[in-house]
Amino acid sequence: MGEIASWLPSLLTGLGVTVELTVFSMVFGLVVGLVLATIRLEPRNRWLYIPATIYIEVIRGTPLILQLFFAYFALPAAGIRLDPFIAGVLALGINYSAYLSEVFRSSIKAVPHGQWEAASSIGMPWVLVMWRIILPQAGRIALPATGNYFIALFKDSALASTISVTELLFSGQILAAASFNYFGIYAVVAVFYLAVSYPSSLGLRALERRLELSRRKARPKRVAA
Amino acid sequence: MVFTVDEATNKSPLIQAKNVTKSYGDLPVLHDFSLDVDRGEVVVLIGPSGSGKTTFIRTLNGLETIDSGRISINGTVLADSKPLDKGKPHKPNHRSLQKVRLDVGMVFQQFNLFPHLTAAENVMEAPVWVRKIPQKDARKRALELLDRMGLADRADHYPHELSGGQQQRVAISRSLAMDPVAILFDEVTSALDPELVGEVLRAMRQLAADGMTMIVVTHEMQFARQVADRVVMMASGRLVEAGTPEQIFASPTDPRTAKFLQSVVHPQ
Repeated sequence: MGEIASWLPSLLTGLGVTVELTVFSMVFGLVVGLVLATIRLEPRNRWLYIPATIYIEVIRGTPLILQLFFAYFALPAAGIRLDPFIAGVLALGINYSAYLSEVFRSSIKAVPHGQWEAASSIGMPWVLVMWRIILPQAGRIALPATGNYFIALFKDSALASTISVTELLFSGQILAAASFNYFGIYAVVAVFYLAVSYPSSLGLRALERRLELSRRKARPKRVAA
Repeated sequence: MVFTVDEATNKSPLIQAKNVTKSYGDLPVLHDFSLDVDRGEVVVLIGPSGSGKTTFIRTLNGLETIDSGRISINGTVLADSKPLDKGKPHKPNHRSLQKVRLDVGMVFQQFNLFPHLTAAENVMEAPVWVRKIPQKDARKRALELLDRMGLADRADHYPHELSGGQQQRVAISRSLAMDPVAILFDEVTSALDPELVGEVLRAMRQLAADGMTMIVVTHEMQFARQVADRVVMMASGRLVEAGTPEQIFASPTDPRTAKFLQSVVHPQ
């Protein structure tokens, strides 16, 4: 027991790094993914559509771990030297942006076309239609898959240990190398991962239910002025 | 009167469509179709399905482009072209499209209410975000419009909590909220259960009585007979004949009109 307690400080620090890595990469993936999805809504705009498509295919067609190596070990040859954490966020974020963009694109397309027509017919310009009418509906459709990717990203962030980011798994490896208690340490590391991922997945499910449109009810009426 | 209609400031028709032609590939949907609509006029388009009625009113607020012809609405030229030369459809420029959409409201067969917003929020959406009217004022106006449609007690309900007839009346309020000079109605009762048709037609009748310019595509012949100033019969993308409801219903000159009316009035 005392042994476990002695591991906790460095594992908790590692968990902190894992969470940071996940959150930053996710934000990056969401923003870039949304931009890519928007670009790919309009195939006729070829100067944007083709590069976006190449980006997505290249990223989805190569291993994540290779992308991490590329960001950390290969870029210095091009004169770009990144801190391991930054390289990790960049590689994970780019990787997930490609997958998320496909989720967003299909979700946007799943919103009935009549919504675009109705919104344009009352004079809303494209940006407003997108922001006020389409995205709130597409977001609900995208939520389950996006949540899945979020949890997958949390676990994939362990790959950043290969480029010397001292996140949770790497912190465990360091302890294990010193104490040779592989079983104990990796079991505790697994519990740490689960302690975050399981509640996250419950939380996402609750959020999904909360946002469900059919559960929305008329609010208690305000007294008319 | 809740909405305001500019009293005839100029003499030219409010809506002018001239020699409008459009086809989907090899399939012609509008052929040399012309129609002028004056301020305050209620024009009802009738004709068999596939005759181009819906396509035509959709061209009037730029939901469909045209291949050739000229469309002008309230002084804005939405489309003006010579007969097609390079197989390129005539695309309206962004600014005139926006202006026309602010001028002309549209009500759809499938209502198309925004499902994530309440009835009042649906009505307030464009005034608040396009016209930048303060929330409070926009809500007050939305409640007035909904009240006029008999929906005062439904303002804070979501679309899925409303019947089809109620949803359609919210949709009418939503388009009225932008003070359009004309409203296009695209088979607005076709998706409704029969017992809900009456309440929507009553709302439209009220609107017509208040002087709103309306172009209505419908199969409700009773409505056409009682409310229309002019009935326009279309077939195969062409104008077959036009006239007062009395002329069209009592003594149609074209055999296609007579045949169509026969089929609508006595479906068996």
